[in-house]
Amino acid sequence: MFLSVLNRELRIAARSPGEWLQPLCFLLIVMTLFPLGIGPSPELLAMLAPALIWITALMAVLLSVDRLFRDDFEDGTLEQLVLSSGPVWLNSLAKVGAHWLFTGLPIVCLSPFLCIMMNLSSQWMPKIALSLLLGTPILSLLAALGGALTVGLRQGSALLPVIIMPLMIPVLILATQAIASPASGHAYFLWLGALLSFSLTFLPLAIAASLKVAVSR
Amino acid sequence: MIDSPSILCRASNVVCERNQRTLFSDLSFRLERGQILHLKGPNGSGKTTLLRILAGLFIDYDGEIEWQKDHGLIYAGHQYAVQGQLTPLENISFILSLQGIAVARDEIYRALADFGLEDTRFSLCRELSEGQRKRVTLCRLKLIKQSVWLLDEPYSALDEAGAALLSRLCEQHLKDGGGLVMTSHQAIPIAHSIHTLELQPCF
Repeated sequence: MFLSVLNRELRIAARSPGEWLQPLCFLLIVMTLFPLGIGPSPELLAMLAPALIWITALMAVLLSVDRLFRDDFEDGTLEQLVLSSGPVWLNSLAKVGAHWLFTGLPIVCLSPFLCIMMNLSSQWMPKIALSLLLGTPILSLLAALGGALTVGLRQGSALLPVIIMPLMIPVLILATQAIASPASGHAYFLWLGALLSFSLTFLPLAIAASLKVAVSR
Repeated sequence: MIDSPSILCRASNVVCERNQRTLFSDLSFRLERGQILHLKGPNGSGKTTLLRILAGLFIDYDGEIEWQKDHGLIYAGHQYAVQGQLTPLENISFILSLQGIAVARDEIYRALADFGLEDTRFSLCRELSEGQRKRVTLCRLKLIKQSVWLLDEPYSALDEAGAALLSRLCEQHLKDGGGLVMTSHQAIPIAHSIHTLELQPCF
């Protein structure tokens, strides 16, 4: 059942490339604008780069999540998902997984390219990529929770960033610290990993509960 | 607990309020095997809400609803649960997999053909008409075996042939000892005795 939800989501995403390309284009455009706005100082740019990459990635994930449950809510698929014989959290996890594959994973893959754009030397690349690899699934899960909480509301998309942004702050702090700290960065990566396993364990349950509430409006 | 095996569902004194308005109060009825329950009433009288309560989607009600032990449900609501970016086959096999059922592709194609959708095999559902998408959603009635069907306005958007097909499916389901609850503003064209539950708007 997990696989069939995943399969469905991937098919839908593959057939509507505009949906998932939009946040990635946003990411690239913003990252192009930073050097222009900050000015021609490679050192300053390199200093700010990890935070800029992370904040933009966070925005890109937020941007992409509004439609995650909305289409299914509007066409009635969510009702069938809640009524299905399997656990709702597993199906939600499959949806979040598909979402990550089409937003988080491309961001991870783009990160070396972003490093070059921001004048970061190549020794930063693995750190940034690893922090994004560990961090973006948490962002996807949190964003999905926001999407599930607001899916039944008419003005939900305005509320979503307000609810979710505070929850994303720890991820941002841990990730940027992990990149910035020279040798002891390991500890932050471990924290990030711990946060990921915590989110993977509990957030699907919260998402499932929110979806049930949204459907039984 | 339901003791008699012929009763699928028994509701007693169901009260539902929505938006500070009582939709229905002290509603009692039962659904037996081979029985159609036709929910009737003007717009806004709570037919869809009652159906959603029976489906387990709406839980904000008082009263008691008991089910036969081994009952299974098919709920086909106002919304078709048909995703436009998928083909009819993909949509149906997804709905089936949600019920934990795997059906061979050929069997789904046969069901689609029965519903007059063989030409649309390779088109995406967003290219289909309203009635065709309704047919896609009703295909699962043929492919999933469950004892109780909850259908919300199943005849809307269907042409004559589609309606006749749906009626035949319902008749077969009733003959097999299933129960059927449906809302419909028109008379139900099923050759079977029909129990009507009239919902009166109360204020």
